[in-house]
Amino acid sequence: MLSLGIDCSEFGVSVALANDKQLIMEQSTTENKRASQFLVPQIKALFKNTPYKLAQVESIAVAQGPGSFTGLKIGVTAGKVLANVNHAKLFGISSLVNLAFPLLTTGNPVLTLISARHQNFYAGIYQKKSGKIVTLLPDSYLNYSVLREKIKHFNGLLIMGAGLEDVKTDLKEFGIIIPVSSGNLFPRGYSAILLSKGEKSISPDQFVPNYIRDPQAVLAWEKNNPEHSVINYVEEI
Amino acid sequence: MKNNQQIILGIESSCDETSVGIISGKHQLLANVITSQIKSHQRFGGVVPEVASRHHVEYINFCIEQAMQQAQVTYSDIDGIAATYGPGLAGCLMVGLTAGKMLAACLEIPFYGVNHMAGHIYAAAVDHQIQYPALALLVSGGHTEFVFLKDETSFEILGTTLDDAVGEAYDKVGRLIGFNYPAGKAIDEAAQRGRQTYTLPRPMINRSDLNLSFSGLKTAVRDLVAHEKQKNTLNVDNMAASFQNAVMDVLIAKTKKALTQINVKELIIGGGVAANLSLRDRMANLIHNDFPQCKLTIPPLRLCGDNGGMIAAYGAVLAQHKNTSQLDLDCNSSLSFINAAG
Ligand SMILES: Nc1ncnc2c1ncn2[C@@H]1O[C@H](COP(=O)(O)OP(=O)(O)OP(=O)(O)O)[C@@H](O)[C@H]1O
Ligand SMILES: [Mg+2]
Repeated sequence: MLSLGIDCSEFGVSVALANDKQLIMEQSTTENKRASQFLVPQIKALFKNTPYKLAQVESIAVAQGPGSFTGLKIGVTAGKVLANVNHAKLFGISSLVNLAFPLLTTGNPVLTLISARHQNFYAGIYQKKSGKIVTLLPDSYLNYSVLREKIKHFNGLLIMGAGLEDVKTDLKEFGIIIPVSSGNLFPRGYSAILLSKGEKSISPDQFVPNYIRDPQAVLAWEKNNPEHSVINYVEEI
Repeated sequence: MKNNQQIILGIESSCDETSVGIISGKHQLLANVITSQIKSHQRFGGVVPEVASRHHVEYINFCIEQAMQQAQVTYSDIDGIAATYGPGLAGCLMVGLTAGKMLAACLEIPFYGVNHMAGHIYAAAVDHQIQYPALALLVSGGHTEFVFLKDETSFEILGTTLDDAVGEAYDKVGRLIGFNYPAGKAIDEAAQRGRQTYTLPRPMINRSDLNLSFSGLKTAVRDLVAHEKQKNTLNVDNMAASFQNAVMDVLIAKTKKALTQINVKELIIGGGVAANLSLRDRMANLIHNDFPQCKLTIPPLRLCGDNGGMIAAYGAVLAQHKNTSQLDLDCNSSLSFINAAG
């Protein structure tokens, strides 16, 4: 089964090509700003010097969120379009789990954090127990004051994330902080593929990012219109 | 429905429509699927970029599939992919652009990045062979400009609005007199019912250049509406008619100026405001009376607003000229033609 993995959710662009669990080629950059420019050529480049073609990909794993709204949309769009052409199986992977992946082999609980400004974070806690990844804190959007209450009971917590400067001093109390991109610790396209094994695939038409957070305008509108009925906001004309 | 003509699939996602069109050759539109987000953005009184881009991700596959079904083509029939890369909302452009580049990469066919405004002009090429040199008047939500086309691939701006675009002025005036976003069509309809009873300025109508301005007109409407509301005498239909007349007087006068200054075989009107009934009518009269040797082309209503068909139509021109784009093409939200005036 030829698989493609994509993670451009926050920390760069990483894409990988694997045959079952065997890595064929992987390419990662830490430049996330230009995913709209480079994601597709980077995917195409995976196939250079291999006997495979993009059209042969049968399975696609995409880091679905949370993370940069822009990055998520680009990764998800590329994945759902390709899945549609190839009739490939499509999998959405939590970008927080994918970020935690390289640390899970330690057996410690791993807290991953993506900063969303003003001391708000996307956060999740995972631990590998007898070969299985268990979720101890499901992917959430939390203010630091709430987050610190949720993490104080954990022992041996490994904390990986970026944009932690503001809270670093306090956060150090709860575990060991490991910055993203230290050594080979970053979310990889390859680990997205590994995480997709055994998961349920999703229809390309239905595939959208897991933003966790609604746009500000929607939150404000819903607050002012608490009794609104749900209608189709988009229609074919 | 594959014949010997090249088949180009075009993707549009620059603002609040996700749309995919498929064209055979340069003129035969096989499908044009348009999904509109208007109902969503009406909640906010205007387009919210983050909301718009999320809808694009939701509907992109639907549009591609529906278009192929309508055109009765499969992926293997498609010879090239075109997608809008600017101008427009960056987060929105990225979705259609990524989809287009991904399709091209997977199908191993050429990719063509299309300027959205070139698309609006080439809506006129559906079922029609444009004669060059041609002049295009682009009137849309974000643009109002005169563009000179020496040939198929050269665009030169001869004049442009110095502030608001016409469509923008319609939408702002609409808000003042109580119409939902986008207000262009509603004002047009109200104007047909009303009469020109209010006095409004015709900005820059006497200047010899081809530049335009609409923000002063909008301000004049605002003041007048406030005044009329205070007296409880505001007649919405008449206000719409007076505003529309002022806009059209300016557009017609400037178009006349342009056609007097330069010799073209064809005048093309493009963009969302080209759907305006009064504009269509008065342009037809202008050409008929003053420039009978010039052909007037205004696309059918469905092709005036944003749509993938017009992107496919210009993609087909680029394909004929083998003017392919690289897959590392990025979106450019302020992409523009060259301005002749510098
Ligand atoms: N009948 C009409 N009369 C006047 N204006 C109209 C009419 N129908 C639509 N419009 C206006 O057209 C505009 C939308 O046009 P279009 O979709 O081409 O703009 P856009 O894509 O938002 O901007 P741009 O093409 O400059 O990026 C809106 O401002 C709308 O009010
Ligand atoms: Mg437009």
